[in-house]
Amino acid sequence: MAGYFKDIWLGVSTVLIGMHITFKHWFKFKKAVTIQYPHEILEMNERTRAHLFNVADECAVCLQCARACPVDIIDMQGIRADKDEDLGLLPTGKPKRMHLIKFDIDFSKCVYCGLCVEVCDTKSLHWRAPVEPCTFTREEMYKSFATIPPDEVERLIAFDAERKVKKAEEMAAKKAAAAAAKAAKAAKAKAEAEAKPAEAGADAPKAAKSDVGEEKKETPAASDTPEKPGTPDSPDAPENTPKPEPDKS
Amino acid sequence: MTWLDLLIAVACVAGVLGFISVVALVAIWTERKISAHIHDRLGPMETGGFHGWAQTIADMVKLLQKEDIIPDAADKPLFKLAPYIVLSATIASFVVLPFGAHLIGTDLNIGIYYLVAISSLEVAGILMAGWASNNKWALFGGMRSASQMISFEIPIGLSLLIPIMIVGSLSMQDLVGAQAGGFWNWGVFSHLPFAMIAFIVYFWASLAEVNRTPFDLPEGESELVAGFHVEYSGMRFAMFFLAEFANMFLVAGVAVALFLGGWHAPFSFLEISAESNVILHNLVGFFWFASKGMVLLFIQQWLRWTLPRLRVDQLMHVCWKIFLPFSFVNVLIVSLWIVLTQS
Amino acid sequence: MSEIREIDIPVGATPQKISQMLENFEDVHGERMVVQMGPQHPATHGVLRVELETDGEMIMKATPHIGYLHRCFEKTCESMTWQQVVAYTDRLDYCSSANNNLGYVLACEKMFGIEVSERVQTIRVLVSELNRLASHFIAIGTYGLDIGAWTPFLYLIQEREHILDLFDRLCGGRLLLNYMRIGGLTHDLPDNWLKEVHEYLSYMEGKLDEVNSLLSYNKIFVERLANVAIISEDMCIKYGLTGPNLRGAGKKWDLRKNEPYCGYETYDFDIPVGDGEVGTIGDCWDRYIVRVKECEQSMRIIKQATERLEKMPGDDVLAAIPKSMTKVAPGEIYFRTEHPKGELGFYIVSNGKKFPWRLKCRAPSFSSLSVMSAVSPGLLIADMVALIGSIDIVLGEVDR
Ligand code: SF4
Ligand code: SF4
Repeated sequence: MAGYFKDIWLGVSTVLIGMHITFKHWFKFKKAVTIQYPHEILEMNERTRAHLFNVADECAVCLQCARACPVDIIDMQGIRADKDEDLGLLPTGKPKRMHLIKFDIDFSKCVYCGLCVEVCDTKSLHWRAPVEPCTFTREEMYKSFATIPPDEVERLIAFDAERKVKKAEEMAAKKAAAAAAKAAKAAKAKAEAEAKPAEAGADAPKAAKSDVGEEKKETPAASDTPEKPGTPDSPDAPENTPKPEPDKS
Repeated sequence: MTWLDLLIAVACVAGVLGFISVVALVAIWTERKISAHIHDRLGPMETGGFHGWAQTIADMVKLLQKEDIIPDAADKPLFKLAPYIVLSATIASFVVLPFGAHLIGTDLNIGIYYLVAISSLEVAGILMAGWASNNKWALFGGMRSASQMISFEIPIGLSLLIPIMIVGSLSMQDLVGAQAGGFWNWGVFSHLPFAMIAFIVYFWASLAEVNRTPFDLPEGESELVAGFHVEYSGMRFAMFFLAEFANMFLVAGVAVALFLGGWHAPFSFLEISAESNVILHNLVGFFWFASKGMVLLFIQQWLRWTLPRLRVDQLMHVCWKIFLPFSFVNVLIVSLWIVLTQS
Repeated sequence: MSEIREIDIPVGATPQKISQMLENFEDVHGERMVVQMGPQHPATHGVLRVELETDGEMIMKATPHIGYLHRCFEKTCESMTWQQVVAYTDRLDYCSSANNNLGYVLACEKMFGIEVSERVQTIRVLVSELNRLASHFIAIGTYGLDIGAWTPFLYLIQEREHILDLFDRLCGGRLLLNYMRIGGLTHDLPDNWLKEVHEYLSYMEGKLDEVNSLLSYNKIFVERLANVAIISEDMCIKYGLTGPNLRGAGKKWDLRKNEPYCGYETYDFDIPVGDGEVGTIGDCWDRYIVRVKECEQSMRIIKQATERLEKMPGDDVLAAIPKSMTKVAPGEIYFRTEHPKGELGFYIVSNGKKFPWRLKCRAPSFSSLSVMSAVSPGLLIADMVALIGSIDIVLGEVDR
């Protein structure tokens, strides 16, 4: 019996305590914890991962970001500038050597992990904070950051193709020369001939891939570059570009 | 029956319907606002300008436009009928609620009896909805609702007996009239503390009657998703919604009429006597009735945003083992008191 | 036709006992109803489907069906570089991503023999304890919601919001932090951040008491949870329940004390255990209250960690991150940490290459869920909701 009344008492008293607490919130209401969204917009913090943005002029087209992305959504393409073309300086102080002709991010797939931003040495890729990254169609989620106009892109591609052909010709000539030399060598010293032949042959296909081309091809050189996020003092981006340097040859 | 009678009857129904809609709209809005402020937020702020007062109207318009979806496997006639039964039971109960000295649909001499009887018709509608939806969760909701409402009718009936015994009439206006002349004459303060206990039991039991927290098992969101109206959409859903909020006001109105002085002001100087101006007298009466009802409505909503929900067996425990013995003892003592003091 | 028989169910009978008693009535052929609870049910904390066989409202059998959120975490990680995996661990138990990060990076660091500075360790402790707090707030709040109380949920979300703001300042993420790296952290602490943590701690004073009086000790809440779905210590161990669920059953087992990592041994905190204060040891209420009490302990740890960090000279949190992880040491490791949901273990095999060769995650929620079919017979549907809430599962982790 005592238990019965104690239960009732506990029930009544705890209900009253609860009501007291909600009452306090109800009438000691100072400021709402929510904001009236379209009228007030929260300020984003400096580090907030909200929306990616790439400044095309500052991008070294080093492909680090594309490689770091776990979901492979950075679609980029660059074309090496002509030898005496001046593209200005990168924020790192090195000259910019690549035209960025394509830099697309499919935000519908982005997981906002921030790995791409961490590896970007030039800090051209960074977070910006629009609060409404929403769009009405999926196509709009596909954002492009390259600033070069389409006809210029075409010109660059044509120029690059031309250069490639030239390089290939040059290479072929060189190869022929090398082969001739080798043949001469071989003729000279038949016994040593077996040790060498691979060299010239291996160079040729590499040289054919003269532009940076489609993102993220694992060229043999790529695996040696520090590609991890949070590499504080990796060498400057353009030098990481994993590609043979036909110009220097 | 003359044309005039018919006209008056139609006007009455229109008035009740209009009042119910307005009450429901206001109640839904206050519910949102109260919950928001209890949670330290603001609630709807945009629609209609001042603190989103038109939000409910906008919602109702939206619900009206919505497609009326009826599940393929539903028992269609019953499914369609259920919301009407629920709503019409509610409307029918409003007829005997005394809003003012003359503002009453009809002052039946068995008013309160009629009200209790008619409002339990609602159970049939809810059970129908639960059954006809052909959804197991809805069925659970309907069953729970039926068992809960029928059980809680008993403590409700017993606690309503107390003012009836004290006044000695079943007519609503008689019951209200007996409480005139200041708040110390109100039903809740007579025969202290027994009428008070009756009032508290009635108030809590009525929460179960209208499916409010902590007795909102028939629609318990986290258990039964939405209970008996889980399959309803559009205007049919709106009818349940309307009925729920109208019912909240109904039970509050009964409590006001029987325990809290009805349309009488807390102090008699705040009233305007019927002799000087009948219309004003009624309007002021209406004001007092509605505001007392609203206060009780607030308390219902306040409780809802404070308490968790009981379990089925605990609900029955509360009803049969706590409310029932209390109201029984109450009735016994009060009747003894009345018998002793009258003889 | 069914007949009505009288069953005397003694007061305080365990669900097991009730179900045993009901077994004896197998000859009574009532019809059982199969109800699908979920995958879109508000109380299943995500996309869990529980197939309930009920007799009226009494559950006879409950079979959880999982996999609605399966996204191949373990297999995907085999084609992610070591550091990229961190971003994926975030999504295991999305309520406590820092703790997931911690488990993974500690396992890797141990396997590769990477030493991190004391400051980095302290920051990790601080962040993961803050996240534990956030995770427990969600657990407590949604539990109130399951039982029907709306308000405590929103109050706790409010307190959690401040933690998320702190995280936002710290690393840019609110829910999915991706803050830790093998060998370090992504960012150093922002200016004034420690002060804000201090402010938060003083702001939180008394807030838990409010929750306690609004929810934990509310008579209705207590009645709903006491003596419901009792999971004994023995059963916990059999089914692999860990963390607050095991401690709720009265076992004092916390990896932060028992197998300290990250310097937890140097912090001063207690392990709260369930003691059957309102019912039986190991009931829903005990599991619940252990979480509330753990919040207090977490705050103590946060306080100590903040004070230590204020005294410590700054260093480079990126210093120990390996420059290149294309070639790593081969090896294998199983490492477990105390996650808000229980014991989070990572079994990782490295074959020295760029990607993990095999990665297996021992998810605490998964084990916790396994106990459901064992305890649910004899419960009511409303108790089922209480049970799911009390073992605090996150489907992101169950399905992986
Ligand atoms: S944030 Fe992550 S997912 Fe998004 S583009 Fe950068 S690396 Fe890829
Ligand atoms: S890492 Fe930065 S600099 Fe390099 S390609 Fe990406 S955006 Fe450009």
